[in-house]
Order: sequence, then structure tokens, then C-alpha cells
Amino acid sequence: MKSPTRRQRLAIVVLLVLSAMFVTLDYRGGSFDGVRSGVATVFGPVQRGFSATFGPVGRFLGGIPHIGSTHAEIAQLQRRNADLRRQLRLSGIDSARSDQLRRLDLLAGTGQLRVVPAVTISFGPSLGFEWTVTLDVGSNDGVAEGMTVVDGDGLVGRVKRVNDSTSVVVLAVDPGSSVGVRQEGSGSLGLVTGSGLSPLSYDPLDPRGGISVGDRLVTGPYGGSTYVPGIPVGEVTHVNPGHGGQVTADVRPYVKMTSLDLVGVVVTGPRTDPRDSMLPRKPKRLANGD
Amino acid sequence: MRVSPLGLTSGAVGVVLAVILQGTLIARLPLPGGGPNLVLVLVVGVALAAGATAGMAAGFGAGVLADLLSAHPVGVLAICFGLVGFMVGLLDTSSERSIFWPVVVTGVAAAGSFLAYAAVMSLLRSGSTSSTLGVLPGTVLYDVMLTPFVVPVVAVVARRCDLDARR
Repeated sequence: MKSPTRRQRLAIVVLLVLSAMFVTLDYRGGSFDGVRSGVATVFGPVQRGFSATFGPVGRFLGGIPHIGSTHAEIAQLQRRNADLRRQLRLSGIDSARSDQLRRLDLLAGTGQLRVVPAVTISFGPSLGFEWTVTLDVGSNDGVAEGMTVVDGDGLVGRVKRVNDSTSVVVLAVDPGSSVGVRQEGSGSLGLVTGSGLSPLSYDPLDPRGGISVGDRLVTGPYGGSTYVPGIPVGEVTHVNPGHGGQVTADVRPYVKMTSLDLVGVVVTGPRTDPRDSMLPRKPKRLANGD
Repeated sequence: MRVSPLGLTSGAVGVVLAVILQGTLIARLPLPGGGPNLVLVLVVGVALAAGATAGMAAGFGAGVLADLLSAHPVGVLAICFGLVGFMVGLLDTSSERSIFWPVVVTGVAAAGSFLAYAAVMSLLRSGSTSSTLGVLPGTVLYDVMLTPFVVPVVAVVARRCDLDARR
């Protein structure tokens, strides 16, 4: 271990003070908005370019866990000739995106939402636990801070920062995120907080409301929640009875946060609360085995 | 110590490239239990090859850039990466040739920066961040696995820049 020179010691102290000052200024609000939007303007197109190059890789790897479910389809195709099969395999990656778009359309239609479709161009510079993504739409496309972001399966997160042509979304699994939710059927309210790769955690408002495994949650009016109501959030996978009757539950989100690609920013929510109508029909979901 | 313009340029290019690749490619890989951080490994590489001043500058620059492209306040990653670059740069590594030493240093640096980041974020956030500590081992492991691919490359580039500066 070398001991630092005088100049190095001075430099590290200056940098530390500078960083602390940055954090304080930015935390209090808006001092860096100009710089951020400048950086986003320069980096947006670069990120878009890189993402277009690497996106198919991510989509392909993200699709690997689902390969089993497309088995039947493949078996059917094998009856056709080899040429057709090879052609289909080549276009498989692009069909993934058109399928995402179709499901997003379906969700928006069911919930009477107006969504701006967007592509995830970058994931947050996480050290393992900040869960954000950058989208290729911004204020020019009508996106504003606080808007709800969904994909074809349900809730993704909320817009945290908006630049001209990009925006940063905090995902529902981010440890700082909490979403007001309502249980399907009973209508009990509660709060879902993120904890990174672990399941979401659900705290019901009424601890004796009754939760059981398989209960489904949608966004709902709780506290100051600004999420659009009725968006499917996830399904209870485990109930933890706590001390003094306080029950909490683990929730598996419907959206696969690690393989986000095509999403939609909800610019106009439904006129009336859609309650449970945006959840897929139960028998179908059970038949899928998830 | 002289600063070579070539060294400065390649450092800046490396940092920008690492931040972009981290967001567009590496964070996209569906890895279980965390993921590697290319930016951190690069900062460690620069610090090992070029010393504390260069490590500190690379760490601070990369941190500010990553901060500006994310949702948390500017300065959080700048503190973490700047400190990592400074401290790793102080290690006496001139006689070492094997990859073993950089791997150990990266492991410690990854764990240290993760905990520093967690500490700063828990001060700024109302919510608890303790639940996220579960991904610490995975993150450290992935960073360590990335080291043999990044650190030697940085060392070669740094040596070229150094030769150029002495010419």
C-alpha cells in the first residue's frame, strides 16, 4: 500500500465534498435537470443504437425460459417442410416483439387506456439494486412525470424523470417503490413494496382481511398513490403470518422485470375505475400453469 | 506525474463506452442473483494500471455520468466509484503479473462499493434497503468473473499510452 501524495489527498477530499454537495443539491430538487436533459439528449440516440444491436440478444436470452411452452408449436411446424421451419426460426426474434405489442394493445383496450408504446433502451446502472429503465419516449411524445408504465402482462412502474426524447422509469420491484393495490374479489386495499430480485411484499391495510395464496392484486386507490387504477400487479405466492396478527404476503409480479422490452406509458387512464376487469380470466391462467 | 493526452482520451472513451454497455447490454442479461457491473471493473482496472489519481478521476467521471443517466441524485455513484478508484490505486501492484491479485481486489472493491451505495441510498430513501443485500454475493461473483476480461485489456492500453507519453 502506497501512501497518497499531498496532492492526491487534497484531490480525493475535494471530490468527496463535491459529490456530497451534488447529492444535497439534487436531492433537494431540480438543480441538475438541465445537465441531465443535456446528457440524455446526447446519450439517447447512442443508447438507442446500442439497444437496437443488443436488444435481440436480450430478447433471445429472455425467451429461453419459455422455450418449453412453445414445444407444441414447434412439433406442429415440424410436420411442414424444412425450409419453412428454418425461415420461421430466423424470424422468431421479431415475432417476439409483435407478440408483445399485441398483448399491450389487448391490455390497453380492456382497460380503456391511452398508451404511448415505448422501447426499453437502457437498464439502470444498478449495483444490483437500483431498478430503473430508460425508455425511448419523452416529453415530445406526451410523457410526463408520474405516469404509469405497463406492458402486456401488467404493471411495470412509474415515470420518474422526463427528458425531451427519453424518460427514466422506476420499476415496481425497486426497493424505493410502493404501489397502492386492491385484492381481487374482496376489494381490500394495501401497499406493495419492491425488494429487487426477491418477490414483492404486500402489506394489507386491514391485517384481518384474509389473504390466501393465489389472490391477485391490481393497482388501487391507496394513500397518495398516483398509479392508474386497475392495472394487474401480481399474484400472492406466500402468506407470512407476523406477530400481533399483522399478516404480510409475498407477491410474484406478472411482469418479468429483467427482460423488459416493449412497454407502454399510460398517458390517459380509464374514466372509471376498471376494478378487476383487466385481470385475465382465471381458468385460462390456471391452465397455463402459472 | 504527467498526464498524457492519449491516456486521458482513451480513459474517457473507455468510461463512456462502459456506462453505455452496462445499461444496454450487461444489465439486460437475464442472470440469476444479480449481475456484473462493467463500470466498476473498469475503474478497478484503471486504478491498478495507472494509479490513484487516474483511478479517482475515472471513478468520479464514470460515477457522475451513470448518476446523470439514472433516477437517483447525482453524486451517489460518483462518491462510491471515486473512492474505489482512489483506494485501489494506492495498492502496490507494480510487481504483480498474475490475474489472481486483480480478481481479489475486484471482489473486495465490488463488495465495498455495493455497501457504500446501499448506505448512501438508505440515508436518502425512506424505505428499507436491507432486503436488497441478498444480491451482494451474486454481484461480487459476477464482477470477479468479468475481471480477467477487462483488467488485462486496460493494462495493455495504459502501457501503450504511457510509452506514447514518454516518447
